[in-house]
Amino acid sequence: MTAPASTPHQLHLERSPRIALLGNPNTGKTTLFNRLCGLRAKTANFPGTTTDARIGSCSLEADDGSRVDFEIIDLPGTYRLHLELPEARVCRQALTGEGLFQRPDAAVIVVDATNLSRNLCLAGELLTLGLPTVVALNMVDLAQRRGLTVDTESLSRQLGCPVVPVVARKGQGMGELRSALSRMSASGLPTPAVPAPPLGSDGLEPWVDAIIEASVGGADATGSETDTLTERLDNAFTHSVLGVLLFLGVMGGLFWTVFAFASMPMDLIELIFEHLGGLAAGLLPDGAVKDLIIDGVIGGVAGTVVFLPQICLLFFLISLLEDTGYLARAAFVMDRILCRFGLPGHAFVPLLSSHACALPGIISSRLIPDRKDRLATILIAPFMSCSARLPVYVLLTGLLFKDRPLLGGLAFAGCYLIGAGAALGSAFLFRKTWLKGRSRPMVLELPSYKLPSLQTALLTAFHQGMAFLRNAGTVIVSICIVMWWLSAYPKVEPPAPALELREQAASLPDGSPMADELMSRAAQLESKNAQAQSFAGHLGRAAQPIFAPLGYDWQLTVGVLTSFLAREVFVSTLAVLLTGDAVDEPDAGVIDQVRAATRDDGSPLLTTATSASLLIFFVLAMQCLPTLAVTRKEAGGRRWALLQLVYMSSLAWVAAFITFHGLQTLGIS
Amino acid sequence: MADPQTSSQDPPVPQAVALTSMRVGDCGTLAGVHLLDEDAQLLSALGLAPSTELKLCKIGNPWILQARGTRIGLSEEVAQRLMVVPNP
Repeated sequence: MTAPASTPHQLHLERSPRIALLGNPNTGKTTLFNRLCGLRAKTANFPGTTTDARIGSCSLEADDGSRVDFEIIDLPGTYRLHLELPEARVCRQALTGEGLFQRPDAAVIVVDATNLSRNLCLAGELLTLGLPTVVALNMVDLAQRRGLTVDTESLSRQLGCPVVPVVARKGQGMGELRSALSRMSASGLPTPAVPAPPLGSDGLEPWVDAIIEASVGGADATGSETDTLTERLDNAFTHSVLGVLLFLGVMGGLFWTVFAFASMPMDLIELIFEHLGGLAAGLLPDGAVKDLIIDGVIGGVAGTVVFLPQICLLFFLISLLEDTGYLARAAFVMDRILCRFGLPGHAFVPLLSSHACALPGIISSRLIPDRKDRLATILIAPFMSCSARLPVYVLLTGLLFKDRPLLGGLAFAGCYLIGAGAALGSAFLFRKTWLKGRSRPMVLELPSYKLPSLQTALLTAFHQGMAFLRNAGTVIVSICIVMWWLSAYPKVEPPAPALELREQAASLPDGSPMADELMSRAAQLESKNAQAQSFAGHLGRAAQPIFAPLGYDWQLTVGVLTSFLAREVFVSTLAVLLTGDAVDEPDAGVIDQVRAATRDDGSPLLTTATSASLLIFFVLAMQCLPTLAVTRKEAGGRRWALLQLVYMSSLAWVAAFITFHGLQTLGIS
Repeated sequence: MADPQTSSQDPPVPQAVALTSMRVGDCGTLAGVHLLDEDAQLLSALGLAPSTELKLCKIGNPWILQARGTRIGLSEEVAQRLMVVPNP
């Protein structure tokens, strides 16, 4: 990086001035961004990267009463610009306008007042770029409590740019910061008026030390004193035993909250879309358009929006936890265990979240700083048994262990363990093969403990939810429509036996139990015939030879293929094929009907060996298209989604094959 | 054993030791970082450059130290590779 000449750079632009927001991690940069832009922001990716870019706008009142609009770009947190790390590279390129980036017109650097010594090094690097700069001196309240006094006027003189003290978490000083920005726009603030600081490790630190000596006073100007409360909390949170227990408690609470509190809005969303479907059914004439709108579009949108509560709630809680400073400590606790499998401690939150749903789990892997670590976590996250697998587990363990609830419970727990074991084993394998290479050493700043910002957490949840809808949602809706079409078309005439049953029912008095029974059997035959004759049914028959070694006939193969949309679809597909009624949750009646179901040759559809093989298949298989869509987006390429699909499906097939033939060899069929 | 280069009147020159051989509360100056350049750069950006004064706050995995106002957690593997001259 070279220091450009310090020429005045006036901000007289036709378009809205573009301001880059820079800062060390944990300086409250995102909180400040939220204070400036509020809801007027969107999350995207920086060009050519998978790094999150948040771009917002704010409208400020200038001194003459006119309004000025600004575009604010929230750059990733970085300690220094010269580092060869992805976040530092993005910041460097964004600030200099390299490659696909446009050079900003000005910069705001957020500086932690309690840690000037390190934060000013980054400020020094920024000043050498010659951009008009405003320093937002954040957390001045915390600095005062620690006995630090910062002479902002002196600091401003030393740095050659305005310095505005703020407390972003409480919104203090935001008016002054906005005024500084609008003044910069109105008067065309020149670049820093002092010589650029010398770069390099030998030059910046003495420059920073000299500034601190001239501008900062108090008992702890160099930040060498240690806070005893921080010491005690660190000792507890990173303790080899207590730390693990506290971690399990915190994560258990997080997991439980996501599971428990997301279910109500999810049910509400499903109910709203059910009503919408009912409304559309009443308004539209029968035909293909009606089916497309109700089952394809409304069903597809519902299948996407239903994930929102889990995603928003998870990011809300993670944001709160991250703000407190706890997550950095937790990363060390889990690193001791996960590093044996080639994963960093940060991977625990995504993996745990994936037990609720792989989608928020994969999205939350953004917490992991190293790209290879992040990719490994994304690839293995769907092995964790998510809530969508529960109906399948209930059905199959119910079939395997009828009247033996203890064994059923153990098998249920075993599914979770097999999934977690496969995830860790696969992580180890990936880190030795496709993702071979060195991880970043575990070196982390342990930020000060503080109360989390509710506003930041709410806005983070909102922005992540919107980003999910915009990026993955559109793909998921399209996939849902295609899968619906494959299952519903071509339309076929009802089979002759079904027509006969309906005729018999019509000859009986209305409402008689026999008439209802006949109509129900007719509906079952019609559904089974429609499924069998649909494109998905034909695909099932065509793909049956692939699944025959696992013990599946064409009906089970259709179930496996249609559940590629989402695992829970397996239960409803089997229910449609075998009972004629679509159900979401397998009750005792459905389990009994599935147990009594037969194949075309009259043999039982599900034997012990077939049920166990199916159970293992569903534990390990990548039976979730929305997850693949999110993997593609988060990993930054189609090939990662393809690798995930091929790897998980192959592993599931092999494990199911071994289970089926192993049990048969043992005489259990 | 005394250094043959120093006279008996000179105070003994403190030797650099691994961070992992220090005790909680010990202070010292970072003398060397036996890590790859990019890892050393990251440490330096966090405030752990050679000649920096540091204080050891916690031993064991993670090792926690304080330097230039920043609390930094290190894995055992990294801590073993930092050489520190303890303050007398």
